[in-house]
Amino acid sequence: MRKLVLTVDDSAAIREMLAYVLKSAGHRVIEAEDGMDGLQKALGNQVDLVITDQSMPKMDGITLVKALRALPQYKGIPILLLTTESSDNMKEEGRSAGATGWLVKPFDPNKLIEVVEKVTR
Amino acid sequence: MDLTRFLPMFFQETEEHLAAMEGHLLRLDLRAPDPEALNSIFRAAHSVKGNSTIFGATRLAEVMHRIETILDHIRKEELRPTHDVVSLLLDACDAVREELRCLKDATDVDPAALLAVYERLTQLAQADGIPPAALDDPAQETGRSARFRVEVQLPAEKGITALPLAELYAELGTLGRVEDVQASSSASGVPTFSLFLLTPERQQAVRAKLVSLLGTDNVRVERQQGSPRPVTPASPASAKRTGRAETTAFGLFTEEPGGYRLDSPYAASATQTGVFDTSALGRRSVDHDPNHSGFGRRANDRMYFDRSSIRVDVDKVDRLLNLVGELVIAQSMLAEAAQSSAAVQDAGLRDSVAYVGRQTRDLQEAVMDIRLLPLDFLFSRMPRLIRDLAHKLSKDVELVMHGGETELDKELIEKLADPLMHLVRNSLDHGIEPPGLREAAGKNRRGTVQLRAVHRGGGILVEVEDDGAGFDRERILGKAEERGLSIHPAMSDEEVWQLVFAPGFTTAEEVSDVSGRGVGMDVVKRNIRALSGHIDVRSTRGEGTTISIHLPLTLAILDGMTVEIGGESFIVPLSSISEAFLTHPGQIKSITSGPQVVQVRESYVPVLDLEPLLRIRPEAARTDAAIAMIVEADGRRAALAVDRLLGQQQVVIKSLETNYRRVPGIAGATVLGNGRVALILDVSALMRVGLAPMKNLETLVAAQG
Amino acid sequence: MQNLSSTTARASAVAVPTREFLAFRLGDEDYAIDILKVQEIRVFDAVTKLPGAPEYIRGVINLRGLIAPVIDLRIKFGFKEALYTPFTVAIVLLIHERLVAIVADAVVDVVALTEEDVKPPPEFATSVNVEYVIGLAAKSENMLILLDIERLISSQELGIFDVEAAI
Repeated sequence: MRKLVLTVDDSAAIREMLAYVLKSAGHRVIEAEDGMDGLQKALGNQVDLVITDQSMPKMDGITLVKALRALPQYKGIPILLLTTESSDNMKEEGRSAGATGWLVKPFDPNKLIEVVEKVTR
Repeated sequence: MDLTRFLPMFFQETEEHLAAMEGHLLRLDLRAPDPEALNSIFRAAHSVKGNSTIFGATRLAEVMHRIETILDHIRKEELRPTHDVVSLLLDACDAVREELRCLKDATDVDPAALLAVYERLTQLAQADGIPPAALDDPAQETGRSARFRVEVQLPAEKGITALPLAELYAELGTLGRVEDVQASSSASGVPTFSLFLLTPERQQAVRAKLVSLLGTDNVRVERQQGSPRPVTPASPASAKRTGRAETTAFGLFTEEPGGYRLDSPYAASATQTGVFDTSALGRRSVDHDPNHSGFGRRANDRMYFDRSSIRVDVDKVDRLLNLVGELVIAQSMLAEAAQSSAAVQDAGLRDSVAYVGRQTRDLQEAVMDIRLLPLDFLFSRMPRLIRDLAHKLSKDVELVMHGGETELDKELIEKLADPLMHLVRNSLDHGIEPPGLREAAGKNRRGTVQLRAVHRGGGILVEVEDDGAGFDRERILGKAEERGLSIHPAMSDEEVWQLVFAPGFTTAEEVSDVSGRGVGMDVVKRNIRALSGHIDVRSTRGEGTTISIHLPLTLAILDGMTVEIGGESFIVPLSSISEAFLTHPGQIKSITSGPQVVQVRESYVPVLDLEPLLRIRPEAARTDAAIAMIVEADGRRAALAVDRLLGQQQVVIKSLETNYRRVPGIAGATVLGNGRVALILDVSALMRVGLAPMKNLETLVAAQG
Repeated sequence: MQNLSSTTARASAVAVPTREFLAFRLGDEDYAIDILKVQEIRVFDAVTKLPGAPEYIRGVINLRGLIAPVIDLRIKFGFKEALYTPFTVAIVLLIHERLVAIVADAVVDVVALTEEDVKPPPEFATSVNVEYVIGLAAKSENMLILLDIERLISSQELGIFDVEAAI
């Protein structure tokens, strides 16, 4: 089923990769290049899923997750954190911020699609 | 997934990150480093690390990791950012840039250089902390960032929806950096919205803005003590982490109020094979080519050429220009053929031919534009140069640059590089005084060197200005006399300054190693002259010096049609030529109360009489068999009566203003194959002056019958 | 009407030890200019005319890739004749960083002059505006009229350079 996904990452290369994979699976994609932009886009469009990077200028991923969770319309929307490692530290922060899950970079495109299906069911 | 399609993006992004890191490092205040700057450098390194890992450039990733660690130490004030530390980080950027270039060009990478830098970084990262210098209170006064907690009480019923969130975040974004947003209830059950804001603004300013934006007084802003939190939770907790190998590629968190289930983590392999097969730095590489020269110098040289996405041989561009020139001719031949009585009926053909013509001309312009580069290519080297030199000379200097976006032909830029660097070095060496001297003279301890570029009078003006000691007239006169140069006491200041450019003025022994080997001012002047430019000096003792380099607009190559009019040769820019044809008797008509016109298919084109404009008279004007060249500019067309078409060729534009002055109606000059000078017509200007305001020529001709 | 005080000031300003001058002929008169300003001497060749330029600016020539204007002072000074013979030369000067060529009927000599050799210019008008005359010297058989060639070439009157360069 087609979903609207918001991808937030300050790396154009990563955004490209995400868009490429998501679109080939038939989903629609909105992109943002930092946390602030991500929040603005989330407020402007009701998306089905948010995938966000951790480290970004203006507002980082964890803060974005918290900001989204503070909004009624995003309380139940799945949010995935893109990260370069899966340390316990990161997991703890992500969990307490309210993220749905995490995804390690570089990601296997098939896994990404599976995850997307799973969380947006 | 094949990652190669994303490679160009990776290269470009990484270069941008490196440039950003370098910029911040150069501007870093060593006594009180701005946390925001440190964060930016950290983030850039982090991004490069992440991307490098994905694309398999593991060596780069490891170097970046080391840089992250070092930045973190600095952030936590465990390591003081000394000049040497910054130099090391800059060197690391150079090494990474060089390695990146090799990867991009698919040339052999020399791991030794990167390895060397990596080891130095490792040493620093693991060194026992240098006791941090006593730091100032993360101060309001210095304008560095401070951390505030912002709390807003919300109206009970509406909660967070009462806030104009988009505007709020936008506004906060302009103030600084937002962290840790929370919406919750205070102890007394009042819904509150809180966040942390990292900003250089003052507390009152922040509060005032929020109050005004939110329309409520229930805003609390509290300063927090201590340095801000690290950027990411997953930052180099390398001290804590034991191994780096991950086992899980993905995971979901346990169920929380919010309803998310924890699935069993995928036992999937974490990393992809990257695109590059590079071995990690930990293991020494097998082959090391001893003939491979050190990168250090090269990296600096490369800096200003490698910013764009692809590199092309200049010869290829010239060949492209040539081919396009031929295409334009071919198109005009086509246009002519399309006028034949058979073809002229075919409207479709005519349209196609016209279309091809337009495309061809656009193509020509686009190709010539490739040769233009912004002066930033030169300017970008300067901050680094100034920094290293100022340090070496123990001087405090600030560099201000303007007009880096001004574009110049690539060849000109390359040839301007050496003279410009020499002048900047001179400003630092001889111009700016040591801080003590400056202070004693009532000046700022910090000297300023300004680098400016601007379009001026049909050319480019590049200036190097310093607020240093200025030229010493007596000293120069004395030296000149010693050298046997001709002087006299009544020489104007201007003339005295010019002595500095005389050959032999600066002897070999004097050229300090700072100003460069054997590069005297006379060589600088010669180099500028070789570019058809000239160099001026303005200087006031005790106040400073300004060196102005005047350059012609371009060494550009113009495609032109050489024509003969009234016995003289002229060049008409190909881009202005619409078509050219031999007129038959009666095709040129005179209309009363109007100019002469030429019938071109269904319309009439006014004849541009060059005689009053250029004081030349086409011989063919006496006969009816002239060649009419239809030119176009500013949306209008005109016909030039030309005696002969001598051929199409590429010409190098030379400026008349170098040794003479601007001549109206003439865009420049060139030297023909026979060594003679031919003037290039400025079609637009000629038309503006020579053509009467547009009249309805058709009507006029028709009325005449 | 000359400004005597300025011309005498000029003469004394040239109070230097020996300087070298290039002497050349224009019509019947011999002129001399500071040799340091001379780049080279060329055979006078074909010139490309400049539209709209005054008569004494003959046009431009190609000097190893650089375009330089050619001035005929004979026309400027109002001589009866300005002939172009096989002996006509173009003296290429470097004035304020710019290359300018002047036409001469012939090159005469290179002379060294000391301050004693130079006398103030006469009070009656010479062909050249006395403002540009440093003085007179009687070194060779003819009287040499010493020109302040830099001032002359940069002058507004000649209008060769745009205003800025003529500082």
